[in-house]
Amino acid sequence: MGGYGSVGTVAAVSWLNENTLTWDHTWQNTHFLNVLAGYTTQFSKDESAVASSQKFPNDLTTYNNLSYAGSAVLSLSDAHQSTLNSFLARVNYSYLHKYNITLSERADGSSRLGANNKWGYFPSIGISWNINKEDFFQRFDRYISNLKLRVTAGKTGNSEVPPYSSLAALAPTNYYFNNTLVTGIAPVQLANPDLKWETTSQYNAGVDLGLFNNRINVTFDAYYKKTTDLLLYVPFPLYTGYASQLENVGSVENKGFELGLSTENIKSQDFTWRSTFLIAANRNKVLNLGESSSFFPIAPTGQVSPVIVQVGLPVGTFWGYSTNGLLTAEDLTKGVPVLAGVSQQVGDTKYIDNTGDGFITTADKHNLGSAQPTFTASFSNNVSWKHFDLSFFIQGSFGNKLFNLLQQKLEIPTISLNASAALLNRYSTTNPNGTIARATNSPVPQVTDRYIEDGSYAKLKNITLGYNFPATISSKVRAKQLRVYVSAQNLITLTHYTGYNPEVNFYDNDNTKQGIDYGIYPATRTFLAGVNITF
Amino acid sequence: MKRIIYGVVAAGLLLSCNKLTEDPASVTVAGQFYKTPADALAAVSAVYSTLNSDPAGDFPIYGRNLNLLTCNGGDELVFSPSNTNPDVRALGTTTYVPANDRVRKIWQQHYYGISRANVAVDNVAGMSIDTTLRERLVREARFVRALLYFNLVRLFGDVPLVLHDPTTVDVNNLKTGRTSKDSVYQQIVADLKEGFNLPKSYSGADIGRATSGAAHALLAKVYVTRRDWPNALAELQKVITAGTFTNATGGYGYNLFANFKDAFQKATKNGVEHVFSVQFETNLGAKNSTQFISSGSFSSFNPAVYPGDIPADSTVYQLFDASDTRRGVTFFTTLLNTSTGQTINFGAPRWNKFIDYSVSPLTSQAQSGLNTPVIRYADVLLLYAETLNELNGGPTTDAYTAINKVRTRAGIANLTTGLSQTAFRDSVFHERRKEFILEGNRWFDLSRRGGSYLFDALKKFPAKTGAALKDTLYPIPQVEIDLAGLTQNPGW
Repeated sequence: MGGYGSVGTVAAVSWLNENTLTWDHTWQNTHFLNVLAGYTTQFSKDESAVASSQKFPNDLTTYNNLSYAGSAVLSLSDAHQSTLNSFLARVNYSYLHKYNITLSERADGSSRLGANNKWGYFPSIGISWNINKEDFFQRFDRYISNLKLRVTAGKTGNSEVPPYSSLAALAPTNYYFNNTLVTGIAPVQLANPDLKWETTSQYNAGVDLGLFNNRINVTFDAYYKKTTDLLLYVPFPLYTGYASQLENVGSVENKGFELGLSTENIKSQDFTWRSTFLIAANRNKVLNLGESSSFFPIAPTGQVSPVIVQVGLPVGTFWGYSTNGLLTAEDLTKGVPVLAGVSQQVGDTKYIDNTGDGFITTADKHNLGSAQPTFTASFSNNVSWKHFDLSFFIQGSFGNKLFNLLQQKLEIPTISLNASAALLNRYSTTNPNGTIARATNSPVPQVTDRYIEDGSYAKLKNITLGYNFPATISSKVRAKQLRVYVSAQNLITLTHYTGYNPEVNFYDNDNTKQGIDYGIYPATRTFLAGVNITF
Repeated sequence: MKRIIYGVVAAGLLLSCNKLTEDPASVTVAGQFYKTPADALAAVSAVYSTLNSDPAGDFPIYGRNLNLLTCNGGDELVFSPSNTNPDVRALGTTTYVPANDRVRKIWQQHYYGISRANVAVDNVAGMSIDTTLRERLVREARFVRALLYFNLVRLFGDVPLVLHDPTTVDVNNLKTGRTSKDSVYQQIVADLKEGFNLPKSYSGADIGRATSGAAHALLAKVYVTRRDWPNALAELQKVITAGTFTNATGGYGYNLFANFKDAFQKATKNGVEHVFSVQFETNLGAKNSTQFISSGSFSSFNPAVYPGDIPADSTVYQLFDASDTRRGVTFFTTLLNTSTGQTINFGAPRWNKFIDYSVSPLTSQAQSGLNTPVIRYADVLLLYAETLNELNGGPTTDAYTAINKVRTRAGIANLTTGLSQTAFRDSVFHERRKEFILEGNRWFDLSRRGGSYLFDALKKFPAKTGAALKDTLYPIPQVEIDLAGLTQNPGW
């Protein structure tokens, strides 16, 4: 048949023009005022083209000369452009650098949004108080070197949707009459002239604390964010002829805290040890989805969506059946609930009838946890002793669930595709104690608790041990510095997760499908040894 | 200060040039379209294209997807060892559930087509272009819409009757219930009656479009499905070539090909027997050739490599007498590999009907250019035999003549004379089974007989013992129940 060759080009142009006027003034070293006003305008454009042909007699010219091919494939080209115009104003006022206030307002206009709602308005206010600059605080100076209280409130906007998302776009599609290709043109998207900015209102209160001449630094922030008018592809009933539509739907809240502790534990001539510990907890919840109370994000072909977006639950909550092993002959005689519409037999999965109606239906699917962790933490350390230095970085996430879609896929019995070795332990008359459901001609890949796993982990992401040769030695090779080191990445991972990498997020461009493992390249464990020479 | 003012003015110019209004260079939008005759033609070509292509590159309706429900779901196929999609295997083993991905897909594809037809009907009808062209194009769109609704109502029973493009993006206002089967059929009949005014035939670049003959024939099939025998007869008489039967007035010149194989060859496309076919053409890499149905039939000279579709079991092959020329067209057991000169014996029969013998090498079925017949004249003749038998309490001479024309072309003897109404009815269905095997007809025939007919036919296969009465209709796709609250069919 001959080979297939294709060559493409992408040209992207963008420019940004920022214009700001700033006025800075100080009165008697007491009142500090900074006023800024301006506007920015951004333009970006991309153009791409792909030419392909096939039926090459050989691959000597590869894609460099498509005319060696026997036949051309329809060429493709595409172009998009978008514009973002903004007006901004900001006032900073400080009294003696003790009391500070910042007020700002911006108006952003995005070409990507609907004709009726191009512009969004985003004000913010921030107040801070440097307590350690107060006279009455001077007596604590020995212990408390820095103390600052911060409060901010404001709005931000998001218009990151593909260009032309609000237009009634048409797309080409082909047919033949009299053996000749004709181009048909049909709608692929409904107009949504009301498509507008997704807006996040954010409230934050924080403290910065420095103790003992800043040897101990503590930063604490508590926040509440509410995002409204979410830009979501809302699934449509298929009988409309459209599968989904980009709309502003509903609201989501995020609240949590972040605590950072950065310390110089030991500081002496030969021995220093510094460490930073960060811990953060976030709680995410869908508050509103417009008229409906839930929807399933569109699942890839052949799959049932493992996640639901539902009011009251975190975005992308896993939704499926609880199971309790396999059906036994005794279960069937007793008449335990079985899947409606299929004749379930001994050795099939035993689903739990959550509704208690005596049947297993989709109504029995329920919350199986989400990819949102209870908390995340990291701990980094730098130790040096004489000429040695050691650093390591530990990171962890706790309480999050993962959906092992790859394992689900590999446990589907097939005759022609690779399958998981777990299938060897499937139920059959010769293996009546098997724990995996029996092989059938028509396995339905149901979302069950079997594939929802604890995704908690702690990982030694990096550890490095180095030795700096003393100047007496490094000078012999005329080096200012001579250092040898060994380091390892991803050396140790502690987790119960059975997949390759608990940090997996297959659909990382889709917030509604977090924590799904459909097979990614595993994190590599890397060992490095090196020499640094500085001349 | 002056410099500041100049700066502001210069930057202001940039800002005012950088407009927020989108004027896409790479996408057509609705306001620019539906203006010229070429636009009207393109809008209607898009309606037809839902028959031979899928927007996501999946099997098109008439390029295997409908077959998965009407052949695998019937008694022609079970599944092939090479079927990796469990939902495909579920259809072959009557173990599918409402969440079956193929059931959802066929529903979605039909409504894609209906949506495009609605858009074309509503927009083209209002265009100020040549009246003859405008009216023809609207009727063509309505013909395709009728075909799609006819499939849907037979597969699912009551279905939402959508006739216009949504005017809102508010999901709540898009909800609609299922429309009664009778109302859906009323619309189908109205759309097809409009099709009576379509041209009788086309020439040149328009060959392949819906004709008035296709409208009459499809309407006849609708009436037969509805057991509206008098109306079915009236429509059939308008299609059957005048002079070949008493009361036949058809002026289309339809006839059977002398060779059965010609109904499925590239060289004889859109021939004398083809009343309406979905148009395909060898199309390198563009994924809308009949590749899926053709390579589902044959993909390798290695007998250990199974194609996508294989006959349910040996009984399917044994339906045919050795003298029946349809057997050799429908199946192969051995094949000559022209590049090696070897004849390969495949042992068990495999599907031959949709192999495009014009592609070379033969294994390149992905480049098939065969059409998929939707209605052949053989169908018209067998519907005529069935209708006469039902109307007259038993077979008439013309009923025998009609079925025997199909049998004669196949090279088998005339049907035994003097059959009872029941025996003749069974003979017609048996003939239809052999004639249209793998043409996406069988499940419709099984289900329209009603009662336990479908269920009884399926039960004969060990893999389909789970079949039940509820299988006479497919389940409404689960996603439509979840999203729009549609009710489910009984038993599901």
